[in-house]
This record gives sequence, C-alpha cells and structure tokens, in this order.
Amino acid sequence: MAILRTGTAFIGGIGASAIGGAGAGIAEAFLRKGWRVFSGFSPGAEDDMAALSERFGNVFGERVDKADDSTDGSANPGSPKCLAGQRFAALRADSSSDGELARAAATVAGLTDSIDLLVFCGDRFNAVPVRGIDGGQDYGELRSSYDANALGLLRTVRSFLPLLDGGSMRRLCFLTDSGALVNGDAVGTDFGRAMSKAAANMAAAILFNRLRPKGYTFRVFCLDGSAAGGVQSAIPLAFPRVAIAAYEHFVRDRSFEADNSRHSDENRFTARDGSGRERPW
Amino acid sequence: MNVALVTGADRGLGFEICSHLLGRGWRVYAGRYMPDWPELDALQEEYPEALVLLPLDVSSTESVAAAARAVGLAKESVDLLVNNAGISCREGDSPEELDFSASMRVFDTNSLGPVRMVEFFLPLMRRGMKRLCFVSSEAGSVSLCARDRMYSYCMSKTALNMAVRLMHTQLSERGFTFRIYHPGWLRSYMQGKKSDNGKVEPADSAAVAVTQFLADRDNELKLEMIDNEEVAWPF
Repeated sequence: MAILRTGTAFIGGIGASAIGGAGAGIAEAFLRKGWRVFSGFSPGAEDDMAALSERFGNVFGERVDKADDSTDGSANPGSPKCLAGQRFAALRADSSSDGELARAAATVAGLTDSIDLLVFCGDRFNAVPVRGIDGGQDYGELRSSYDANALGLLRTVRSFLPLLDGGSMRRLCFLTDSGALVNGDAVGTDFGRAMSKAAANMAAAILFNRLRPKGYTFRVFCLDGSAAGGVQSAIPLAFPRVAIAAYEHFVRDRSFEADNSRHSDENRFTARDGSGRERPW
Repeated sequence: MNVALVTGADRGLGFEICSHLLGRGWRVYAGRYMPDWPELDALQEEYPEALVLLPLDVSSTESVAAAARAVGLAKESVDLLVNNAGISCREGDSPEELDFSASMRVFDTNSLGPVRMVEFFLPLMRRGMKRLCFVSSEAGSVSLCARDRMYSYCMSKTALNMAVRLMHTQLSERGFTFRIYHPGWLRSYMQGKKSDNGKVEPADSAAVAVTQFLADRDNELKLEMIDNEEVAWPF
C-alpha cells in the first residue's frame, strides 16, 4: 500500500465492526500508514478500539473498558496521560451526543494543535431486524439512525471543524454505501440506514457548497453492498482491501487548477467506490 | 366512487389538491392537522358527502394508525394516497447554528410521515388504483444540490426520496404505482402564513399535481420526480 502522506486524523462515528461498522478498519488503515489517529466511537465498538490499542498502543495507556457504560463521557480517560510515541487514541464520541462530541474535541485539542483530515463513518445500523414497508417499522429506531448517521455527521463536523481549520489538508471525508444512493439499486429493507445515510449525503453536499470555497476538500467513499438486512446481513468489510481503498481515496489529492474551476476534480462533489468508480447519487 | 386521502390538507397545496379531486368527483379524506384553520370546514359545506375530515398528524404513529382504523371502519378502499404534509424550520446557515431537535421534527414529519402513511394504509389500498403519491422537492436532489444552507429541509426530502425508492422496489411488483411531485417554488404556508415569496400559487400547482397523480404512464417501472411544469429532476 503506497504511502501518500501522513498526518493527524480524527475518525468519528465508528460503530462495531461485528455488525458491519467500517470505521475501525479504516482507522487501522490510517494507522498502518503512519498516521496519528484519534478515533471517536459509539457504544458497541469498544472491542474494536481495544484491539487497535493492543496493536498500535494508546495515547491514554489503557485499554478501552467495555464494562464502562457511562453516558456522560466519563469513560473518556480524563486527563490525558500522553504516552510518547503513541499514535492512537480512542475516545467515546457517540455521534448522537453533543456532549460526548464536545468532550472528545476538547480532549483532542489538548493533545494536538490541529487535525489534517476528518472522517465521519456513520456506522450506526438498525439494532432490530429490519423489515419491508409492510413489515412494521420501528420509528424510534428510524429516528435513532437519523440522529446518529445524518445529524451525527453535522455534529461531528461542528465539533471538529475548528481543529481541522488549522491543519495542513483541511479535508472532510464521509462514508456512504450503495444502499443509500437514491439512484442506486435500493434492494434493501433497512429504511433507517438507507434514509439516514442518504440524508447524510445531502448534509455533506451542503457542507461542500459552504466549505469548498473556503479551501476545504471533500471525499465521499461508497461502500459496496446494500444497506440491506441490518444486524443479520451487515455490510461486509473485506479488510484490508476496502479499508485501503477508502484510505487511498481519502488521502490522495485530486486534480485542481486554481484558474480553471471547471477543470478541477476537487470542485466536484462525487462518491467513489472501491473500484474508483463514481456512483450516481 | 374513487377514494383519495391527502395529508396536510388544511391549507396550501394539500387543500387545493383536495379541492381539485372533489371537483373531479372523487371522495376525499382530508388529513386535518390544524382543526382551527377554517378552509376545510368551508370546503365540506360545499361537498358534505364527498369530503371527510380526518384528524391526522403524520409525525405521530398513533395518529396515523387511528386514521387508518377510522377509514377501515368505514369499509373504504383507498385508491390514491397523497403524501403532502410537510414542514420546515428556521435554522442558521452553518452547522454551529443548527437546532437538532428542530431538524428531527422536520425529519419525523417530512420523511417518516409518508413511511407511516404507506405502512398503515397499504392494507386499505390492495384493491383499486394502488397509486402512491409523494410531494417532494428539488431541494432533496443531491445531484443538483446548490444550496449552502437549509440542512434540515433538504436532508428530509432526500430521506423521503430514498424511502420512496425503497418502496418502489418493494411494491412495484405488487402493482403499486408511484408519483413523486416537485410543486415548484410555492407561495406556501411553510412559515406559518402564506408567503409572498415564490413563483407558483398552490391552486395552480395542485391542478398539475392532480393531473399527474391520476394519469397512467407507459413506464411505471421508472421512478421520476416531475415538477409543476412537467420537467424531470434528478435525484
């Protein structure tokens, strides 16, 4: 895997890989390529964070304790004991929680002056078996998915944009999946995930219109496999290929001509998949 | 007699759609969210037999279920379901200024409201025309997104379009047909009173909407968003 560049990344919205969350794999891809990674994880991803801590060390020097179910952010290892040379930090940062995200951002700000790249994964999957339109929807779950994956994207950007503003790349990266493209195959039944991730695509598009003129760059990586069956048939993440593909897409610069906006790929808001294909929204 | 149900029928586009349908001889269940708004009462005096006022808050699963029970008790089969109810919210231009509670309310009404309606009324639509109609907006088009604000409303319409795509995949093979309508830049009541901004009167847009909703198409497998000038918009 080519080293394109290194820097400091915040990778947020990480959910459990066991049910299809892609964020932990992407965090590992960045770590393998020498990046410093602050990861923001949601409940359920503790084992993934612990595994990364064991392999790459942890700024806070302790493994993430799965038994700590506190919701007030106190699971974050309080005053950072910054272990020299450690490039990984796991912070509880449920994307549904303004408080957790604010605390995570404050913790990161205490450890670094800036971040170069922000990734929001939106790894929340429906916690109950999904059904078709006439199977009976759980509207609480649909709202929770939207809160975590769509509004969570905006919360995360809001919390970390000040740190990103001082970085060298000023790059915002988002994960979507093929089941969340209105122009896609839409063969799934997980309304919560599909609707929330589609809405997240729109949130990212509006952010692009707002922030691209200020010099920020954007990437959207499309995971293949539909937002289909929720827990029972989660999106498989064939690490390392897909995670590497996402990493490379996020880190590689795209063509840009300062004096020719129309001839600049950086000025286009697109989603690309692991094969490098653009996917229609 | 053909039977239609229109959500958000108190005023504006929803009210005018009801009026047009009644004028064409349809029986109409008008979803009423604002019992103190007088227009539907006046319309019922004009159509005492054909117009039924139905208490309905599409953001409430209980309300939608009750509405479906009420229509079911009347032993009515619904031919045409028009998901029109929609709201917006005042919000700042940047993520720092967003009120996420308000955003969730917009999602609950604009995106989940139609999902609830289809879920609960599907059993009442299995005979008859089986036509599902959704008032969406170009604001939900990611492909053509040109806005740098209005997160909540735009996101809600994108989520709606995604839900309709899923429904279309699941229900087309069962004979259901779909219409997604962009009403144009309406002089709407979205901000609480009729707006002076906008280019299109609700009555004029409603006339086009009803024509689209009732007309059959040669290719019902294609899902499109068509506006008040019969122009197609990408998703």
